[in-house]
Amino acid sequence: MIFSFIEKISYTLANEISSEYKKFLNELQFIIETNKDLDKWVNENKEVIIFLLELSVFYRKIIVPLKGTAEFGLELPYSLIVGSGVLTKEELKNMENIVAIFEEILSRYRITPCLLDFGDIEEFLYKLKNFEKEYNE
Amino acid sequence: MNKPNWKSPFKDKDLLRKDIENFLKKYNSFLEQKISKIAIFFEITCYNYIIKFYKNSGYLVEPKNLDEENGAFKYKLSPTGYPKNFSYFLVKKIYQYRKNPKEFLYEIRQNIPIQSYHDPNIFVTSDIVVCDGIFEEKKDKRYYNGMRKFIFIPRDHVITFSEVKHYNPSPEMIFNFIGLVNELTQNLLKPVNQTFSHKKIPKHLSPTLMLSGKGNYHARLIKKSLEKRYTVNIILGLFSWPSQVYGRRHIGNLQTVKR
Repeated sequence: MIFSFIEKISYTLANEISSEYKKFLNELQFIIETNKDLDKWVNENKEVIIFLLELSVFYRKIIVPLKGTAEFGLELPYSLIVGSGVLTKEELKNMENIVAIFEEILSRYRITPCLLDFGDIEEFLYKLKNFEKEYNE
Repeated sequence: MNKPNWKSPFKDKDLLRKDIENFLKKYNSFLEQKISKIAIFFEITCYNYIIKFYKNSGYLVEPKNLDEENGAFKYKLSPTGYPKNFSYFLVKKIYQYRKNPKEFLYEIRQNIPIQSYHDPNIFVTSDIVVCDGIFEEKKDKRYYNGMRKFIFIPRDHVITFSEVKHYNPSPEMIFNFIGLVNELTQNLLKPVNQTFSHKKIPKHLSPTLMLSGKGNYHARLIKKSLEKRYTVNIILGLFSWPSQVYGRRHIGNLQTVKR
């Protein structure tokens, strides 16, 4: 779902994002086929794991740079010129608000940036499994 | 005590999906408009982290060359364009040598060609460079087809540099960075000099690779190994832990060079 949105954006970025997502998705398929311990849990939650994977790639590739630019830009007393356009204070504020709204949605589900950050899919699954366990306790 | 009314992405997955769908619908046009500049935003973000590093290391930080028309900070986001047409940060530190104050000034620039350490006719453009503000120019039709002056930082005037990658790290990407260090600051391809010095000389981040992705176990091993062998910083996982570049509690863990 998130990626149907991404397909509309510039080819280079869409390609970059989807290749990172596909790399992790392939790793996930491999784990399902080979890791018997996780197999049952992964299969039961496959749909939500894939959605959280999409969310992770979206968050780190799109939301994080918006957040970094808005935060620093708002600390400065002047606007920013980026390429041929100007990022005014209003635009930076708007960016900051949108990031805050997105993070607020995540926080309703206790999804933190740390949960969405991982080096390989095994680490992601490990974090998700612990997260679910903690929630149920 | 009642549990807070948190939802679970596992149990309430349809609700989460719906929330994200609504978010994308509502901000679709804004995001589409800004997304084409995402890679640029990440580069800007990392440039800003470097400025914060200097701020938190006791430097005075001052923006220079703001746009004449609207007073905005004009980022240099590609190798084209003369440095004089773009903004930069000037960082300053003053030390007292007995009773004599000495002022150290550096410029933090973006995307300016740097002369190779090995061959004066070879240039590399790194994303962020700290220099002493000395530039040289050459008009040679073999560079930019002779249409413009070629402006670069001479090798002896480079203090340090940083590369920014908005990717999940691969071993090849990290090792490519060492190629750049070899080309630009070959003297740093050795471990940090541990000898204690009383000399008051400003510290700078040693050449740094900043990566948004955290990398897997192997990437972390490579980082550890390279940082042990060379005076470089490989910063992984900037996306969830940006303060590792500039946080007052963390900057002591970074490798630095004195110049």
